[in-house]
Amino acid sequence: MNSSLETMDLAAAIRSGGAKREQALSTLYNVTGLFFKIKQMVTNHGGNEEDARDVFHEGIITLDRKIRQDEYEDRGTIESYLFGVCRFIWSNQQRKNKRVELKDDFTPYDQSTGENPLDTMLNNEGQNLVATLFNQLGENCSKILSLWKLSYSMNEIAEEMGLPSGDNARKHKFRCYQKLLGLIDNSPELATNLKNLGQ
Amino acid sequence: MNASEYTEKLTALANKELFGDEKMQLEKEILENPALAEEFKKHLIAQELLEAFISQDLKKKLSAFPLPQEKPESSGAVIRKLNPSRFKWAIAASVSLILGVSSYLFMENKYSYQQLANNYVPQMQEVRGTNMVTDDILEKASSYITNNKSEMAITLLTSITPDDDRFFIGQLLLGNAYYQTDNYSAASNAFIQSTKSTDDEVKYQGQYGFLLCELKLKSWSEENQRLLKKLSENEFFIYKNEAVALSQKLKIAKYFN
Repeated sequence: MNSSLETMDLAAAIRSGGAKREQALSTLYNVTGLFFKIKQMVTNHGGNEEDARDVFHEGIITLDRKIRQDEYEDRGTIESYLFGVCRFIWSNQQRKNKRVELKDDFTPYDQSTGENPLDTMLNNEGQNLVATLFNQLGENCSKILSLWKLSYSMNEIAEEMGLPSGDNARKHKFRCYQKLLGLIDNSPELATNLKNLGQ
Repeated sequence: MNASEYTEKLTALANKELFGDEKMQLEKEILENPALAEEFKKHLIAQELLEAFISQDLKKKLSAFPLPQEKPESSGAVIRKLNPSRFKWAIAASVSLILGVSSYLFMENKYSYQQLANNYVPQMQEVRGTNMVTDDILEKASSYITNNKSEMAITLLTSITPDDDRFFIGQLLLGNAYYQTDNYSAASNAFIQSTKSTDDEVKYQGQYGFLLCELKLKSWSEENQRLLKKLSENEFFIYKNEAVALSQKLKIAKYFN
């Protein structure tokens, strides 16, 4: 890897959240040759450079989520895992689009055999829904809650948000979370979009 | 517990921050109390929404980044100088043959040559007299190979000289063309040449082609076995699964020889 961060450390840094996560993702993004290999894989299977870039970005987003949700196992290198994720994403997209029938049997990476509610969220309709909901929640609340979700400490949140203390940040976070729950109550489309959740 | 404490606990459970007895107790309560289950569902939705928001935010940030450096320093200019779509067809044709050969060897129809060839029909272009540039030669040769006109492909491909940076891709195709004509020694030599490419994809496919020649020539060795193992474990080899399958079949075949 072209960084002082070793592979194992990258997963740990992403897991720990905060600024370390951002640094780790940036390092991973810039691993020399990784994007090139993904681009080769995509262009050899009916895609173009733009497709490759989208797949690469989706791969990093998926990897980030898998690691933070403890669904990533440290087997092999993180680059090969990311490559596997990207292969799965591209093959899945191809199947959906039915543009090219892939004949080599892409193996889905571990734990990724089906769509989860988040995938549903990230389709176009879901994206609009999420954007609308977080608009209603407001910029500050959206930021506080996402920092909390990314494992920032209350003191770090206070610092990021310009709040006087960690305790104050905790109160803000509680109020924002209540507001989010209220918005969910008033948004019946969410129940439709996430019908499998919690079952 | 009062309502506020329940909210805290449900939030923690949904965010996977509750453990041990406390977690078990709350999960039991949720199972027994439909109203609490409904409330918990909202917390799960909230967590998913936050994940979706974080993903969208990361997507925005990534889109603002410049694309990373494309090629490792150790790699050469073969791919960089080649029109990607042409390269695609050249390699696709070569791969289809390799996979076809693999299926022939092991009587599996899933990857029959014809089936694969049908899926990788190159865009045909007119040959421009005798002054074909290398890209055209590769494209034309790959179409000859997919159409079982290997002799014509060989004639074209042998005109690519080693000083040309597409030489190794040409050798990969040449290996396939010779293989199609059952000239496994010549195929093996061409595949060996292609393994000298600085482009990993060409190199790995050349190695795989070479191994298939070794099988045909009945010169399979422990060293070949090790190379196959390496390819079957190589995440960056696009036909890794084929190598795994071949490796497994060879293990089985060993019992019958």
